[in-house]
Amino acid sequence: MKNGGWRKGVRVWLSICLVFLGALALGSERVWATGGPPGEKVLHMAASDFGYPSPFTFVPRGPGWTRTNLIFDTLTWKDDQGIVPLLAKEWTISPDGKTYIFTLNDKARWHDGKPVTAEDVAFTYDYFRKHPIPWFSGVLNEIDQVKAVASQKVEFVLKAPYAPFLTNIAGNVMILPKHIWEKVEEPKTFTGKEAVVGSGPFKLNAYSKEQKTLDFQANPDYFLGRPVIDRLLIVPPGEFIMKLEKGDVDAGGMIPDPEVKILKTKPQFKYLADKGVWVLRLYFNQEAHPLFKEKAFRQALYYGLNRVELTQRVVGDVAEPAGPELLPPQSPWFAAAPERYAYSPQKAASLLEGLGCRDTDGDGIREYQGQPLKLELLLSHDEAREGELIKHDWKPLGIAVNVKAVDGNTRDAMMVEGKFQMALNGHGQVTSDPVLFNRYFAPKQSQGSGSAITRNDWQHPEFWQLAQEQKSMVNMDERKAKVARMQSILADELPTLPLYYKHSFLFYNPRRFEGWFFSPGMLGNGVPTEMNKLIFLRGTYQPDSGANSGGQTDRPLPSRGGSPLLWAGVLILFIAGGVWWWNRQKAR
Amino acid sequence: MVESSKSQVSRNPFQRLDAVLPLLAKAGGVLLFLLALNFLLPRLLPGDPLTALIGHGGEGEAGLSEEAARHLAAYYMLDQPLWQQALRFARNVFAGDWGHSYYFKLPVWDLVMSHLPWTLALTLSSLALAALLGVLLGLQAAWRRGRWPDQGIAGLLIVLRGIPAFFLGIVLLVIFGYKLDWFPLSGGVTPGSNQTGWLWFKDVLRHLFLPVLTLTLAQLTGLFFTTRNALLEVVQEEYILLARLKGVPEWKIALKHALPNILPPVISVLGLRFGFAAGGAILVETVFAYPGMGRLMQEALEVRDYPLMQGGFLVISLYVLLANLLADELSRRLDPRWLLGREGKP
Repeated sequence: MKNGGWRKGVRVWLSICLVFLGALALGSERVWATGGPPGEKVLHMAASDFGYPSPFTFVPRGPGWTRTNLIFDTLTWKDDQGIVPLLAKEWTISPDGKTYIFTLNDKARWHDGKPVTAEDVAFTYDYFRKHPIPWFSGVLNEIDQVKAVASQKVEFVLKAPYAPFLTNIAGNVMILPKHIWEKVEEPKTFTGKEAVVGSGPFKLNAYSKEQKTLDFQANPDYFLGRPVIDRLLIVPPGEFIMKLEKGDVDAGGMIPDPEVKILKTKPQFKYLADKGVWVLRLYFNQEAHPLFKEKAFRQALYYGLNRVELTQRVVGDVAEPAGPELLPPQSPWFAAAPERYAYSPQKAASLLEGLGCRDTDGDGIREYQGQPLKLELLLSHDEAREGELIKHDWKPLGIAVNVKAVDGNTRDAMMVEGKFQMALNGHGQVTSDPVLFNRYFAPKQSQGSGSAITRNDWQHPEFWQLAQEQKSMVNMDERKAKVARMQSILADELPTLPLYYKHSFLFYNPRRFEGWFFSPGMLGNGVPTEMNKLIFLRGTYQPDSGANSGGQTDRPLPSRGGSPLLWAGVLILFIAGGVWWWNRQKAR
Repeated sequence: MVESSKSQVSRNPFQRLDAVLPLLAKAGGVLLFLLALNFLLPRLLPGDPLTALIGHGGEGEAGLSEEAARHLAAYYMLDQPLWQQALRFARNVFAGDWGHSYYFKLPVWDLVMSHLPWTLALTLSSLALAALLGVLLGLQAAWRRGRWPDQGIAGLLIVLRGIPAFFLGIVLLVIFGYKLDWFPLSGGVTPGSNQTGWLWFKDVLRHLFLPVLTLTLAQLTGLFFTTRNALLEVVQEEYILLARLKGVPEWKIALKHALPNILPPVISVLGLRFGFAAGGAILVETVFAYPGMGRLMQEALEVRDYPLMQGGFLVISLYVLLANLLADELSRRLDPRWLLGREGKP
């Protein structure tokens, strides 16, 4: 009797609990997407995390710099047409090109209300020289001194004329508030609220490293006008297509190639393409094999490589085959070389024969000075397919390639240390200022800190002379002529083999926000970005009507299948009802 | 008997110390070994932090002059001999200073402690659910051995075992996150939602559901078969037959007589998995973009962020040690022979 009563009690208790839980589930409300006040204009962008957006803590990559520029301003900037004033409303350049005087916009204010002055600008450049960071330090060497000549006037004196000064320095270095940073001894660990006091169109609401989200609030007092949105939320880009269709995000860039192809088939979304912004090229370690020093050998390899097929098979229409000039056709500095190295195994074989590379033992591999032509190609796992196609193309030429795939960081480290024969690596900046040649092809003794992609063994006195001259030339036509001649030398010498140029895509929901653009020649020192802050001042924002948008609706979203809690609640009630009925049957 | 066992424990503190000291020495030795391993392992990887700090190159950075690169190396003390770096690391760990991440520039302690709770919520929840379901299903299968419930459950779980966890996660994400829109597609909380209290908790649960379900299903099969196979031996024991002959209900035989005797092997398996909970579940975290130690350590590894790797691996190592100790103790205490006293007499 006692045991039977105990079991009955348990059943009754269980039934009550289940009914209670069911009611609770049914009564729960759905969490809204943003939690902000109704009517708040929030734009969600899909993008990866690149660190705390302060000048000394952002991850030294283009997106990290771009996000920090939402909070901080530079002296100049770029829109969709070219260079525009920003903190500096106007500037003068001395006839010798060495002195720049910037007049600051007197409406510019720091987020704490204090005015932006010439002292802040002078302090900033001095501070970055005392505390160098990889993003700026290489170009600050061009400056002799920076001084405030009036409260709103600052003078830059350069060591020598520097052609890309307005973009690569004035449009690159973020200005810091002196009254905050002059007290900071350890800027690399300064991550408090004051570290993100800037003059930009956005203030930082919150940064979550574990969620990888950034929450920016519009600065209503921005001197160029209030942004058209109230908040900008940067969220992780995973499952971008699903998020865009659900309405969890409104736009996103740096999208993986397979997703680009799928998104292009969806008419409800629009896209912009910034073409030719990244190049994949093959590097030679000239110390590793005597043939790498032979121009004819490098030319033979290039003739023997079917770049059109490689590009089509590996990346498809998100890229185009590269030419020997290194600069893509989209670059305003591009000058086509006479010889484009169209795929020709016959020409390649002829050049190899001329070098004395012959297959003397009939094993299908040529020998050079008695040694078989077996070369090693180092690459990251991301370029494994390219490596296999290169191997496939060179095999009929009698060149055996051993593909060695490692992770990206290891590949870079091995390139810096010279532990490779050939390597595949890629970089951007190729549509920016041609001063990039001075970085990528500097002779060994002029190379700064070790970087994989700036590794160069090739020496060409005329090329280096031209590179040094064009860097200081302010006359555009003369400079273009020199840059054209440099490309001609590169195309003839082929110190590196460019394989393809990739494009950068931005996909967006046009019913939410319009006005996106890419800047010609990229931003700053060569950053392709869809997150140009001027977009958020000039664009148009509207709540999505949600009609016939492929499932995309405005936030908060109605659930397509009904709330899961509702279904769980129904199930729980059903079970509770069943247990109650069983109770009654047992009692009878 | 338990009482008399206790009375045999010495009340002399010095004798107790004699028992404890070897344990402490052992623990200290393990800790030193862990510290050495945590220091050395990241440095054995090819590449170095400066390569990532200076930048891959070609993404808009201007690069560093040689002098500036030397300054950076000196700032992070990477130009010091290895033994000096090791000593400084050990000193800082004991002083509670875990340093700053080279790459993210945030305190390592903050980074690790902000990710760890999410990891534990994910892995421990899924482990608990997998244990509960695995034991219940194992019980059902063992009690109906050879019949359709046994064959059905075992067959289904074998098929499930063959599906990689990340693929399972993607399928659940597409069905429940995208098609039905029942759950969010990624993250730990709704971005920018600023929820607090109960609303925040519900938001966390919504985001946690699919990752937990994925990990639970991925771990279920092992626990199911451990329980089932252990029970199959126990059900043939004579005391089970005696209980049946006495008219004890089947459910009571299962729960009160059979289950306690198979708990030690189940606890051992759980203990092992419990120990690895702090390391996260990198594949599931990647699929669901869920904040966790797995992804944090992967990021640290990619950029050779020595302080972050050291701090993260140290926390994981200490957790594994602690978890194994707890599992051993729990296994011992759940052993009916321990409950009845050392001589095994009631």
